[in-house]
Amino acid sequence: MTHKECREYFLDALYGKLSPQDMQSVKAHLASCDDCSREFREMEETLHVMTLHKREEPNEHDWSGYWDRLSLKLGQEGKRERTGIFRLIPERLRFASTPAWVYGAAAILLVALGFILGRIYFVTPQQGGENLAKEQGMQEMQSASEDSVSRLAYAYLQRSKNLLIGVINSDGSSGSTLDYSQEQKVSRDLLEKGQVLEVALGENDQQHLLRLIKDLEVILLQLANTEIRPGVPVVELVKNGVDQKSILLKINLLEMGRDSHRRQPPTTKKSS
Amino acid sequence: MTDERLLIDRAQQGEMEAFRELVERSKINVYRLAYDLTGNRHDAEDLSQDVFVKAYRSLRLFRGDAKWSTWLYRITVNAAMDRKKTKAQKYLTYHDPSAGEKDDQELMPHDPEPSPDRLTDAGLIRGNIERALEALSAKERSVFVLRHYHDLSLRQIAETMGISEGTVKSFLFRAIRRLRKSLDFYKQDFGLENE
Repeated sequence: MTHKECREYFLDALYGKLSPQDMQSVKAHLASCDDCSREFREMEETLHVMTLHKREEPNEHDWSGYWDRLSLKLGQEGKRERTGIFRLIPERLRFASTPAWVYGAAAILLVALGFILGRIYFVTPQQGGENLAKEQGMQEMQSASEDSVSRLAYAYLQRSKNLLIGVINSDGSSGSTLDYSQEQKVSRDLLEKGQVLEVALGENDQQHLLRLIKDLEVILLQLANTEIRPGVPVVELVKNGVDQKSILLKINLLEMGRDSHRRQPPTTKKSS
Repeated sequence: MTDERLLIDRAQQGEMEAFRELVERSKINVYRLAYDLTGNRHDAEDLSQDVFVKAYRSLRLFRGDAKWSTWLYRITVNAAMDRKKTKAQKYLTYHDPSAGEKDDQELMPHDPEPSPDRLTDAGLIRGNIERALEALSAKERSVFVLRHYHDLSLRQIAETMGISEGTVKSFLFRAIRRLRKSLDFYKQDFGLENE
């Protein structure tokens, strides 16, 4: 038997688990080998010393409170189970040890979700300011556009009014044929411009001006298309049209309204 | 069906009184193993209670393939190993961060203040034995304690710890060698110096 083989039998020899033949072989080797013999003896001594190990046993008093302390811990355990998110976890998974990274990943996911929702539903004051500025810009552009159309419309009305007053005040009662070719030319020009203006006023939803220009269109059309010949009462036609539609009155009222608006002190838009 | 099996079934159905009866029957053995693995009364009670809390948590998973006592021993050994690991990590954190690769038995601090009974012969011997056990790794200590203080066979130890019998033998042999080395220093206390 070699040293290695002998030492492999040591544990079984110490616990009395060797067969009689193997035990005989070990004994024979130990008798002839000082190193193995010393090691085996020291192991025996060690195990003997270790039998002197004694425990401090809890006394009756300690045991009496044992269940109370344990049930307190179990109660906390049960409480943890019954409350919060634990109720949502399937029972078969509830006691599985959840790795720490799962909690970490969940926390990161929640933060990311909050960030995304914040980006979608809330804007920073700076972004809010930018949006407000954009909105104001749009309003100003729209307002500028409206002003521009209105200016054109008022100029149109003014020109039409002058034309109509000029025709009405012409001396048609004399029976002589007057030359209205110039007025007809202006009238056609106004009709062309009127069509463009109607579109612009429609887009800007300036219904009041739009209606007025459409009323004017009827009168201007009569003037432009009337065949000028002796006996045709051009002035009467225009005058009737103007009277029926109260065109001049309406134009005057609009101009007065615009003038009074201009005289009002400017409102401070910035304060809004 | 045994009485113990009936109690386990009732406890698995949520009957706390049945679980209490199981605890009452097992607490001494669990406490003793906990004491042998931790070396002091306070830690032993704490560990034994942790064992029963873990057993309660995992009660539904107990199928009766192993004996109830073997199952509790397994929980106790694992809990003790976890506790030792945590203690070693704390010790590393506060004392020697560079000693990360040392074996854990070299890292456990020795009690600087011996209790009064350590000053008596019995107390001195108990202290020396405890220090020798502390010098073992968690697995070596578990194997040695289960074999010598709880009389488990090598096969039962293998089953309890979830390792092979060969590995149990290997841990046991190393444990005895290490204990011998540790106790060599205390030979005088044990009256073995002149032998």
